[in-house]
Amino acid sequence: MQITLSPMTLRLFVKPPLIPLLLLATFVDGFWSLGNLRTLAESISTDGLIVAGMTIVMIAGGFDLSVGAVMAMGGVAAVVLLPYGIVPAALGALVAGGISGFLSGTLVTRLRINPFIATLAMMVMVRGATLAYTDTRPVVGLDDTFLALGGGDPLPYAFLIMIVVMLAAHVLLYHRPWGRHAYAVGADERAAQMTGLKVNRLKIECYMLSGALAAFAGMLLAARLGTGSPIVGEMTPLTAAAAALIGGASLRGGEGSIMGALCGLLFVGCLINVMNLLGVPSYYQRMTIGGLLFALVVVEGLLQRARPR
Amino acid sequence: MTAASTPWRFVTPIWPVLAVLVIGAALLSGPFLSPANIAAVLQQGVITGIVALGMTIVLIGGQFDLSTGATVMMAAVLALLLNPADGTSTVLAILLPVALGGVIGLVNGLAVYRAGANSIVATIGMQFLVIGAVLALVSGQHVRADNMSEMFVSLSRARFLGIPYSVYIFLGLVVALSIIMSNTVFGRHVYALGGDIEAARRAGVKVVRTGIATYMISGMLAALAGVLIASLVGNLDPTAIRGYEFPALTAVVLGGTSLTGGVGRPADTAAAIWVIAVITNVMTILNYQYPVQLLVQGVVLTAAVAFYSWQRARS
Repeated sequence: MQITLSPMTLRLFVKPPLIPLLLLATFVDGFWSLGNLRTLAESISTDGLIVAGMTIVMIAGGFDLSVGAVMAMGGVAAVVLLPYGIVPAALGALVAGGISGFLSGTLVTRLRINPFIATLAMMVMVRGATLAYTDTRPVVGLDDTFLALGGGDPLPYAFLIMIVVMLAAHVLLYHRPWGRHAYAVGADERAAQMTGLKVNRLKIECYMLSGALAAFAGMLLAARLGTGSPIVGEMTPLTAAAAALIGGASLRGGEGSIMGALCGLLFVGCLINVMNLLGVPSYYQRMTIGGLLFALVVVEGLLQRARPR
Repeated sequence: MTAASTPWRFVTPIWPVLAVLVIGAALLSGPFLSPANIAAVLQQGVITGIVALGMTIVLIGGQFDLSTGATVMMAAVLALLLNPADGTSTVLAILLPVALGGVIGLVNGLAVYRAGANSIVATIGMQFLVIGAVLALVSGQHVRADNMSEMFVSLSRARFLGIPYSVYIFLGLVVALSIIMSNTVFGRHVYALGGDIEAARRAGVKVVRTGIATYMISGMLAALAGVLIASLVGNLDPTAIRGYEFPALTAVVLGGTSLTGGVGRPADTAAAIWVIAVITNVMTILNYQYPVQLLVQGVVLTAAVAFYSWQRARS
């Protein structure tokens, strides 16, 4: 018997099993409490900005391993620039992230370096520079306006920002020519080039967007933690990649959507949240995310092998 | 086939770079050429070097192994937990971690060559899986082995002609892998995989089996590096030994192994390891800290990739 599921049902129940996970979470004490839902919203909001950027880069056929390091850099840059005012701080973080994305994009397009290796090198350079600048210590420089950015009632500001960014990214990808071009470049770069698209420029723009979003996420995280730490974000590229892959993006490019990424993000976020509530040590969480990512790429490989070419 | 037929072509760009650096370092700082410092430089490269040799084999086959850093940590912790006090436990403390490293390589190899998973993302996933499992095993605590046997300690501490045993182990591995890669059927098959996997399959190369073997070699070598760390320190904070995959990858790429596979030699990776060891040594003498060294490594990797891709585009 053939069972057919609508795409929406599939998305919410099977790929990822978001609703089953939420139902199971009901049995965990305190999951549906207001306090915990707020914690959940806070934790997925910074990751959400990064997942949006990662999804766009993956749609255009790339990958960005540097997001975690850029997030740390963005937080440090924002706190360091805070004495000049909150707007220069935010702009500084965005520009720093954009520059790092521009460099990644240039390595990938002009020098034709494999995107994983290019962004891995970028990750190490950005992390090294951030650690060297801060002398491996968190930077502090508290300011009430800045700290208020980490709050928000009843919904955290960061969460609202994440929703706005997700909506904007959705419109950009689905309703603007730029987004359709990104899909075209990811699906078949040569064909896109032949139809006259500026492939290199578009890819660099994708990496710049991802870098700027990661740095902005770093600033929001710094506001929430009350400090700009140079060591945050080690797991971020994994979590973001897992969320994007669960949401239907592919390592080969040309596939994926923001709505899918949002579902993937919620799934990974709830998983980590439930583990925290159950008091599972962070080592097991690391194992779970690693194992999840491993399983996801194995399944993707098998599916692509099965697909007729 | 050009790659497979020229693995012994002697002068690749990395050797003159090494020579210039050694001369430069000797001129810049007097103590560099002292026998003790030379032994230190040679030993500094050993751990990363052994890891890099395995990654070279995997990359010649056209794939990446970024789980090696985690395997190093797993092996070091496991060797200490097995408490190598007498003869039997010493042998176990060497063989069990290496065998487990082979198992990790087997799983990586199956995922990449059997299921067709993207090797970078899969092995990063494996890295976090292994690190998480090891930290969970020891609850994030220090591990120490008391009364390590003479034999276990001598692996890294004992010296012959003023040079630690581990350096000879590394040199032996370089020679053995060079012979395997250039003079055996297996070696030629690995070059064929990296050159054109579809062509290799049609030519009758057992692609899956050969590919899995490259990952198992890499896993076992990384584990051996971890055992050497255990023998050197005897007591370690598991969270402190990590990230070996990055300097190792830098050395592999700096040595001229192509990121798309099919080109590269274990001996060139060894030369690149010493280039990095000399740079690190000089930076340490000049008192630059870890973050700056990390930054420099990133720049070296980017520059090396850019140089080789420019060189290949030209030819």
